[in-house]
Amino acid sequence: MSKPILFTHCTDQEFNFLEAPSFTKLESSTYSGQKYKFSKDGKFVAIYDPLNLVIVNTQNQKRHSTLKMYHTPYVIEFSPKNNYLITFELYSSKHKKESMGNLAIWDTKSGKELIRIQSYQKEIWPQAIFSQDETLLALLNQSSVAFYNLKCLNIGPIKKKNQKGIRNFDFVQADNELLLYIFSKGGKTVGSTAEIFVYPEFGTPVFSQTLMNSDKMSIYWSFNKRCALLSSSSDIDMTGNRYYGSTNLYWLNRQSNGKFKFQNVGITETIHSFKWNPVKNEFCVIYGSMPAKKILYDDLCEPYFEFGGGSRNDQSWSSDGKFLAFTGFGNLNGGVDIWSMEHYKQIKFLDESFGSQYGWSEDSKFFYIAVVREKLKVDNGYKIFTTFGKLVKHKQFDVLVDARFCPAIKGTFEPVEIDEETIKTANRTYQQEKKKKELNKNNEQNSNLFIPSFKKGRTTQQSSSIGKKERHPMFIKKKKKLKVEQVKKEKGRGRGRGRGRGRGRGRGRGRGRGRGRGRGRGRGRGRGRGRGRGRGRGNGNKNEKEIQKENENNNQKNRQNLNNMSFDGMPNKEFLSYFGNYKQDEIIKMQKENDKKDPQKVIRNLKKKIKEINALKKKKSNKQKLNNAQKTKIKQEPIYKYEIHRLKK
Amino acid sequence: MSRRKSKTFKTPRRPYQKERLDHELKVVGKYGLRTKREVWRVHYTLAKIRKSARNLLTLEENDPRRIFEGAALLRRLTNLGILDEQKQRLEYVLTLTIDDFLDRRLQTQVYKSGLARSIHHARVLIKQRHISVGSQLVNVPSFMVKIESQKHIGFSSKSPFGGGRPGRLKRKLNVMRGNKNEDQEED
Repeated sequence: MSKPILFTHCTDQEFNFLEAPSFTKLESSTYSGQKYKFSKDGKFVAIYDPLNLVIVNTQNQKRHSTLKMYHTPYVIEFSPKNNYLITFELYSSKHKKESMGNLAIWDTKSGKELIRIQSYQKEIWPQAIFSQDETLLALLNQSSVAFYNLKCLNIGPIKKKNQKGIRNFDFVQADNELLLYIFSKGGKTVGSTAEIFVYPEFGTPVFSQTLMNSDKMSIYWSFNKRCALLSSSSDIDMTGNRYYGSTNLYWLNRQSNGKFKFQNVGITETIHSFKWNPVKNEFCVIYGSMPAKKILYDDLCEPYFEFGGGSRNDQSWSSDGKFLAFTGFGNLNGGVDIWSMEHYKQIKFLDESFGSQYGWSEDSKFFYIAVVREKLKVDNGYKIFTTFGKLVKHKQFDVLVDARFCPAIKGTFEPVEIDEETIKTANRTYQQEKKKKELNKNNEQNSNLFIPSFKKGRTTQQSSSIGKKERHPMFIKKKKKLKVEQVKKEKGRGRGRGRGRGRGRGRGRGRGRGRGRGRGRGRGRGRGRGRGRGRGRGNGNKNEKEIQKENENNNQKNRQNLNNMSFDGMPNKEFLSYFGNYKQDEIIKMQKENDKKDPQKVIRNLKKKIKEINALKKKKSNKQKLNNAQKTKIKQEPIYKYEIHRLKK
Repeated sequence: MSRRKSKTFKTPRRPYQKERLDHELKVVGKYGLRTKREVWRVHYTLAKIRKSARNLLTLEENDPRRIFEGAALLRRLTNLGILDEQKQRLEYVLTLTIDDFLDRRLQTQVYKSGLARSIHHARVLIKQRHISVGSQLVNVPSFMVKIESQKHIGFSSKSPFGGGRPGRLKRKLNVMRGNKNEDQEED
């Protein structure tokens, strides 16, 4: 039994339901309204018509009840079981005259108003939170959080938690306990504190942390409330790097104690967005300057996967945690990447440039993008796609106020099962489309220019030099390198471009730190571009081509090896491969013998040998002459070092 | 037991150069340092590292010494957070600057993680024993923070900001207020 998926949109005057998968209007389901809000279940909608709040049952699309309002509400919220409703209005002179409060709590069935309270701050929302059972209500005052019993509101608060300067609070149910989170801002010297308490015991906090540099700290819980993310933001950045202030991310983890462990996630650049996976305890952060990095952190707050792709600034997860969409709207060019989180591959790229609202449907089959009047006065409308990128519905309006899918609790819809093969094929098609685009781009740019015939056969890299003059190859001069070849053949000394440090005598224009500036007296230590007559390591008697080939081969190998190697994990083969065959055998023999003996004794012997070598090195630095035997000894030092390193493991 | 000693800084060759003096003053202000010596100290460590990198680059690419010591040098620098993970080559070592080193001091890390109001406040907190890296209390503002321990910087469990008992002055005031209340009640 699968429920129908509903999509709603609301213009200036009308409010409509649409049903998937065809997205046609349902008859007899239009209401007049300007704003609306869903309950958390998705069972009810509250639609605001001037001075009337109409509550509608989404399954029937029939009217449930109406509430009479005195002023336009700024915020509308349902309670978790849909029995109560909160409205918050901006405090104005009307409220003063009639001495009425801002915050009102209503009963949805009867439509009666239960309580009206005055609360001044609009930047600090939420100010009233229900518990999941609907037994308790938590209200914010200037200096305390007060808990009321919902059945007898007029009596007064049952319990209170006093704290000066509360700016933020949250009230959440985790397993069997109720957790209260408070953030209070202190003065300059004291710092601002964030604390978490278990419901009735307000004496001992389960978590507390003081930070000096934060003006606001808000908490974001994971799906089972065992982990949380704190984002602390300061309005002013004292270093002057950022105009909007700085933010920091911290990670909380609940341990078997009951207490929370605190850890800095470690991001120093601007954070664009971060969100929890609705099914697992992992989260994804987008940070940095464009193109931003998008990194997945796991259970223990360690990064384990990095997404590639273009510049995006927001993300949205599907409700079963199987799909992630990165969007780049706002001040960016646009574009949506859809990734599948089971196989970590990109499925699709949507080339959309406008969008202010976006999201997944609750059975994760559809993804919608809508342009809304608040943000843009032009191009209002919405588009609905499937997960693999097909356009299903596209409609435009003059004025569109809001558009979204109807939410639902987890577990109402069966999880979508997609084969690995379909995802792989989607990945392949995406990559093919990417390549096509690049080729098309270059063709489009050059279509207006005159391309001479000798250039037409080239690839994109070569033909991307549009600003440069195009010359016929006959007129391009070749650089002559005859002199060097002659020298090499004759003398075979190899002037070689050695990095000869040579005592570039003075002429060394080196920006040498030395006194050598200009006249370069003395040792112009110039890292001289100086004609240091260095001991350049030339390659006499060889041709240029052979030298180049050798260098290329060596460089390739070394780069691969250098990139793969790490000091701790350097395997034996790679170490051996740098010696010729005549040495390899000796080394292997030595290693086998050393394995048989006692390792500590062997280490001691080797250390003695290294001491001798160090003594020889000192002689060398003092410019004393050494035998050939002594020179070979010095070369054996790395072998001994590697042995010690190997045996210690 | 004799303790091994060596110099850690080197004074500049010319004492009065306007550019150099301005630059050093800016660095001191940006990172909250105490004396010019702390700047020269970092210059010296950088110089030593650059020297060894230069030496290794003169060797052949196959040379075992170059491989061995080069890899060790790169590993040390990446563990301290000075060198990027993607720049694992000796040529990149020669492009390092002083700011890379000074960013890894405990003083700047405490300020950037939000525990302190300003850089100077961070130095005060460190010296007054409020800050610990993991479980180890660190008293030294020029402690070089490694990448692994960067996440574990926080107030130590014994400091009043981190859950310990309040400081000496606060305790004294509480006692005085306690006495005052008693006096008033008696009256």
